[in-house]
Amino acid sequence: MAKYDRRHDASLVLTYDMNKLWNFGMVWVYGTGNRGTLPNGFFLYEGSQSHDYGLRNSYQFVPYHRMDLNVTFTPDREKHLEKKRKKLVERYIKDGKDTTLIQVPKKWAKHFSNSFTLSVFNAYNRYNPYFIYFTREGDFTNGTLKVGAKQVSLFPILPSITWNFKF
Amino acid sequence: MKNKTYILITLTSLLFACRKDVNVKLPDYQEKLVVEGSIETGKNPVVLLSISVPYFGTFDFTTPEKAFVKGAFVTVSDGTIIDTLSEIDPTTGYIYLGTKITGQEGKTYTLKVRYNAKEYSVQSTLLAPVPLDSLYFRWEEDSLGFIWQHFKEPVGLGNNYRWFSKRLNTKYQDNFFAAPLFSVFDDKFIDGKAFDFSYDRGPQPDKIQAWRDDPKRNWYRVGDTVAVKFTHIGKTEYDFWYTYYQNKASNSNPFSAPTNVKSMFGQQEDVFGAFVAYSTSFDTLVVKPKP
Repeated sequence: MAKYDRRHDASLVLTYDMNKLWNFGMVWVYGTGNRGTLPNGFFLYEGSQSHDYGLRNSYQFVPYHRMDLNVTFTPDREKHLEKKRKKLVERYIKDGKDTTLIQVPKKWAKHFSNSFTLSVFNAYNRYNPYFIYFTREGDFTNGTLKVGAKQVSLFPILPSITWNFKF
Repeated sequence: MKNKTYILITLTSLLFACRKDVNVKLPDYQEKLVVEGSIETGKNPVVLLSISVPYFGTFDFTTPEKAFVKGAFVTVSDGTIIDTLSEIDPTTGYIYLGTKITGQEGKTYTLKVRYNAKEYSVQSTLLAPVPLDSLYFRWEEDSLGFIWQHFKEPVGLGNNYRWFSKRLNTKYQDNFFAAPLFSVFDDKFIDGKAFDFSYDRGPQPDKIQAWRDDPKRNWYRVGDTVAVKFTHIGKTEYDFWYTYYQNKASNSNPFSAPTNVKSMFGQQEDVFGAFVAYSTSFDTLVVKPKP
């Protein structure tokens, strides 16, 4: 298969920041179908069937396209730290401890930030062809031959969850 | 808990639902006349004629006899005598047999086929025989193994060979000399050398399905009486068989390189096949039990 012959290639990328917390994204990819060499017919020789292939790379597969969707949630860190600080102050006062000792955030987490992403690869579950193969059952010479073609695809709809963090 | 299990199974099945039946729109297929012909030392010419079939065309696979060619006019000439081949069964066609000519060393045979108002011709020369030195058996399991041949290749590049075998036992009687996969070789790397080689047992052309169903299909058994036919063939004939075996090896494998067979009819698009003159030498081996 001439898998590097992708004659036309198009991508569409959209992102939307709804607010400081939520971000939405979409990617749509399109490519002309790959080219391959498939058997057009078969012949009988020495009692068994053999393939008669067409011209090299004469068959074009259906176009490749898919849509990926993602939504990212970035927690409000300031709000969370303020809440945590307030709680600690209350507890320290209750226990009679010195509130100046409170360190929120800790020194190692001073630059910490994180977000959560839910994404769906190939959101409309398109079966893009990876390769096609032919099946044969039975025997040509006794009239029981049945032929068929099957398409194998990689990567159907694939949801995923990602936790991104940096410190 | 039950709901979570159902969700997990559904998600997992989605991940593996990646193969489906498809309708493939192949280019219009031009059917070809397929010629499978041969002549051997001391034997009459035999030619099998059929037509190639489109994968997804209108051909009805329950009537395979429609692919067999009937009523073709087939002749083989040695330059002096013209032998007109007759159909063994005129209602079926397919097999055409000569009666006047037998293969002789040094002669060039011309096959002509007239079919559908067209004539096709091809030539093959019956070369001098190259004797096989000796045969022996090597057991791979207690009662099974392969036939080995000791061979001293004649000096001088340009020799090509094909190997056949046939069991003569009462229990496993083969009707034909059968050639296993890749049973052809040339002398590019073995010119003038003495060496041993082996082949497994090839499929009988009239029992292909039975051969596929046999778990011991490639082996020879203790008790087999095996006749080996070692043949000397020309370069064009070798190229045909070598590319034929490459084609067989790549069959239905989407990751192998598709190979079309190098027809002896050259670039003609409506005919395909070979007419091979085999110069033969024979030997027989009885497979005895392991000592």
